[in-house]
Amino acid sequence: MIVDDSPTVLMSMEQLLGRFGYQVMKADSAEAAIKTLEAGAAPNLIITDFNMPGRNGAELIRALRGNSRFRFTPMLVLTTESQRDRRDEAKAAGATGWLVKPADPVQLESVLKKLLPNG
Amino acid sequence: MSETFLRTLLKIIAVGAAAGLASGFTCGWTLAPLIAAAAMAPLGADWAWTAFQTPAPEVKTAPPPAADTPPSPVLASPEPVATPNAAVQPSMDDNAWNTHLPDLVSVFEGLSQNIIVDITRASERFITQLGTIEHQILATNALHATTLDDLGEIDKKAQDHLQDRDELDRSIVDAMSFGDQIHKEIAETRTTLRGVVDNVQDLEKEVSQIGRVAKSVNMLALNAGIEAARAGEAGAGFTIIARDIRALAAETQALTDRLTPLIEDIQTTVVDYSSQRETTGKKDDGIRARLARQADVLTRVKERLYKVSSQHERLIDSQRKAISGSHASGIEIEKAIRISLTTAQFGDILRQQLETIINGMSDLRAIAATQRDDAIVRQKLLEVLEKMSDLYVMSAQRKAHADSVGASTAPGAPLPTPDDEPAMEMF
Repeated sequence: MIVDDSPTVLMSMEQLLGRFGYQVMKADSAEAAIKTLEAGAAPNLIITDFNMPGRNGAELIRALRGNSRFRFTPMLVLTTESQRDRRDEAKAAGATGWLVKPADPVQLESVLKKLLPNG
Repeated sequence: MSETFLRTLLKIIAVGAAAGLASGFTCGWTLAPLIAAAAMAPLGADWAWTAFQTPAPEVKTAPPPAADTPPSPVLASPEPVATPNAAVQPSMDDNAWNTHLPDLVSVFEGLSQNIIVDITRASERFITQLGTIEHQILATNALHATTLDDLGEIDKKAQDHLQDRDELDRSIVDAMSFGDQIHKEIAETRTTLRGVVDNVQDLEKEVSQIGRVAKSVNMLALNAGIEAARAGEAGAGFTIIARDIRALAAETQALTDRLTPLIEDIQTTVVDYSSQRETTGKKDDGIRARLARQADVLTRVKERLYKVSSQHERLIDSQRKAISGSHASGIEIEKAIRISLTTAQFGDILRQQLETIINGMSDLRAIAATQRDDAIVRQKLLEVLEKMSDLYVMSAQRKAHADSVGASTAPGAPLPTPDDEPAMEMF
């Protein structure tokens, strides 16, 4: 699942992950993501932007970690290069790791293979 | 700072913001936002100017004097009248706007320059990847063109091979009819020989009979001798013997008569067989010649098949290279597409940078519209600077801020350089 308020990022990540062989769900806000997940969606990885209107990425991760269904689901945060404090906040919220936007396709694929060895 | 200068500065900022937004859209989006952004630029400048204008103080003038009243020296020239609640205006040098606006404009200018640099970098990266894709496609097309040429050559040779195939078919039919002919001749020879054997068997029987007759004649001759010895006086017995001997002679003659045609038959058969063998001998020469021709045809066909096989090997090799090249090109194209997709994410970063500028300008408008107290305006302007720095998403923005306002860094965080920053981390 990709969570980002930018249609550009959602589109590019969907296409990129699709080329890696993954099926992708999209949500344009933390609230939309939570609604989709509560409806029964069960992604095996969540990638979320940090800066979003409403709840930010760290708040989304914190909320999901409180749900037993997603306690062990890998969750990555997409940040920009100048937001080290944001990364610390994401780590405290329970993020599995972070990536700097724009995500390098080789590094992204490498991370996905580590987090999802079975595809 | 003159009104014209400020108006010009604000127009530059508005056009720069619109250009950044428009360029971000050139990463593949529609033209409509581009046109809207270009149209917004002068409107943005006028709006910003209106927001920054302050109302001029009221000036009360005395009514014009009557025609026959001498002008009063007191009312000769209008004097400004202070409004009851107006604060004491500071001097031009102490005005908060004059103090902080240059810095703010400098920050906006630096941020806009960053956006231009980022747009250029993203566009160059995108165009580079397009060039890579085009190069790979052209290389693949060239490989396929070579393979098509090879196929054309083989197609031409295949037409020649049709003639070879027809000739080979004729040779095979000829060889099969030759085989039938040989088989027939062998069968005829076998029949002939069987006839000879039968004749010989008959001859043997007759010869046996002759032998028996000969024995009988001998016995008779012996008896005749004996009787002759006895006769002397009477020859009657010898007459009987003579009669018998004549009968035997006749039988012998009959045997001979029967043998003669058999012998002639055998002779004829042998002669015929000999003639046949002679004819067959001539036919053998013709058959040898036919076989030689067929061998020649098969040799030619074999050579041409060898050439075809070599051409097929070349074609397979060419195909293998083309497929391998296509595969490699495909990998490069896939890499270029993936990089292009991530480059599109620059649009989001540019959007955030522009939002920082737009939000800053909104805050300035609000201050200009609502604040009159210089001390409060001063404080608010500083707060705008701090707020903007908190929202920066790129190191280059912080650097532009620091360069513009002379501070060592934005509040709080140290100033990292892009090379020091890792692109990812797993916790």
